[in-house]
Amino acid sequence: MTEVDANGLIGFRFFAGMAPEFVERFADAGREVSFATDEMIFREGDDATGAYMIRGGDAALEQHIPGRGHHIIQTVHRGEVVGWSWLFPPYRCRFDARALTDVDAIGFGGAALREAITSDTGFAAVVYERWGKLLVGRLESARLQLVDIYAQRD
Amino acid sequence: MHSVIDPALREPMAPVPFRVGAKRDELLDTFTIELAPPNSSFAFAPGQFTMLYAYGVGEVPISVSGDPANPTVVTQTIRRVGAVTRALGSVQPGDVVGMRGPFGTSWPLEAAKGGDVVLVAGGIGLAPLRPVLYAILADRASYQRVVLLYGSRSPHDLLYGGELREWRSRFDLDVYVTVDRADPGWHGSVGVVTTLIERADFEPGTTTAMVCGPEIMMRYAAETLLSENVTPGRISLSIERNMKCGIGFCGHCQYGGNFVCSDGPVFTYAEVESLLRVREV
Repeated sequence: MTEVDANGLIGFRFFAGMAPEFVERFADAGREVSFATDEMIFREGDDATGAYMIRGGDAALEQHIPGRGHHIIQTVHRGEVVGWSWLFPPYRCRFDARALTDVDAIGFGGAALREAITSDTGFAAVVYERWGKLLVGRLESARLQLVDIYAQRD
Repeated sequence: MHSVIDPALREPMAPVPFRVGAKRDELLDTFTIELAPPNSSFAFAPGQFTMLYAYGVGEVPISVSGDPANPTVVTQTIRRVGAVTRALGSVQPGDVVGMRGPFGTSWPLEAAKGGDVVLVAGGIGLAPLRPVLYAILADRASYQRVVLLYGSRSPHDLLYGGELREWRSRFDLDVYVTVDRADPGWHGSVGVVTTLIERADFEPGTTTAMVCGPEIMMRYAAETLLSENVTPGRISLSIERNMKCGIGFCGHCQYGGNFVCSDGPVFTYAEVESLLRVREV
């Protein structure tokens, strides 16, 4: 794993408008990682050790359904972030994440980010705002998906 | 939006007989018919609709989904959802159906010239947008980036599969496709179509967005486009209501202070924003 340069984060949408000192904090908590096609990025029930921002390739958020295998809930692509369970107790992954292609990503260590949050309220506000936005987007998408799949056609 | 007045409007309530030239199944519940106009002449603007008449059964509004540059064929893609569309689904080449129109407003192709164009389609909503793509591709130099974002329930619900593959292979068109529910053979994106908006590359300040699909999808798509800084006046939606006369007389399709058949079906988001959340409309 390679350390991350803050300049390498600035071009990504997730960091748009973020103060340079906070981007630096993410860089400090970040490591370059890669996953081969079909490799699990994390599994439901695992300790949630952090989040991943996809730099290249495609990944899927999945739910394993007994007897029916993996069900893809959403795919994630370049510039998108997966992983929020590291932010909330009990810090366990709620879904599976799997590389659909070879994936290059930046992994952000959850423990380091949580430590930074407790010592810097400004950084905490940024983290909760970014992940709040991420969660709201996922929730809206999931609801729209449910309406689309299960709503009766007229 | 501008209305296109056609000579047919001189007798707007009298269906004209059109012979069915070809018919093909698109999906399990969706088919396309090609109709031969009398005198081989039918002019329409992308976004407009006709009232199709299954003789003895009734009329339904159907968007024109073919090439606006070809006046000899009227192409319409129809989903079987009721008595009239089921009757239309049973027609065969050589049969005759009635048609009135075209009616309504059109997508803002002229206003979009010189800038980027983002088309957002959900399900059968690709059909009313297909003429836009035909028109843009016939005049490609007049537009900057052109992006098609298309979402459907499942891979089996994707319309115009052959053309989608052809469009995806073009270098002058960015096509993103997603499905709500994948099956084992699907290797593309999974998620709602709104997630594609953030992924697409376009210049919001010059972008004209045209959105067609279920109303809830259009609402979310419009909100996502706004969050990407596309201006409300440059986001167009195609609104669907119970259209009967097609010319703004009967009032069945009243939508706030508008009649969808004559003031729409294409509205800008700025025009309908206040109505989209009104349940009684």
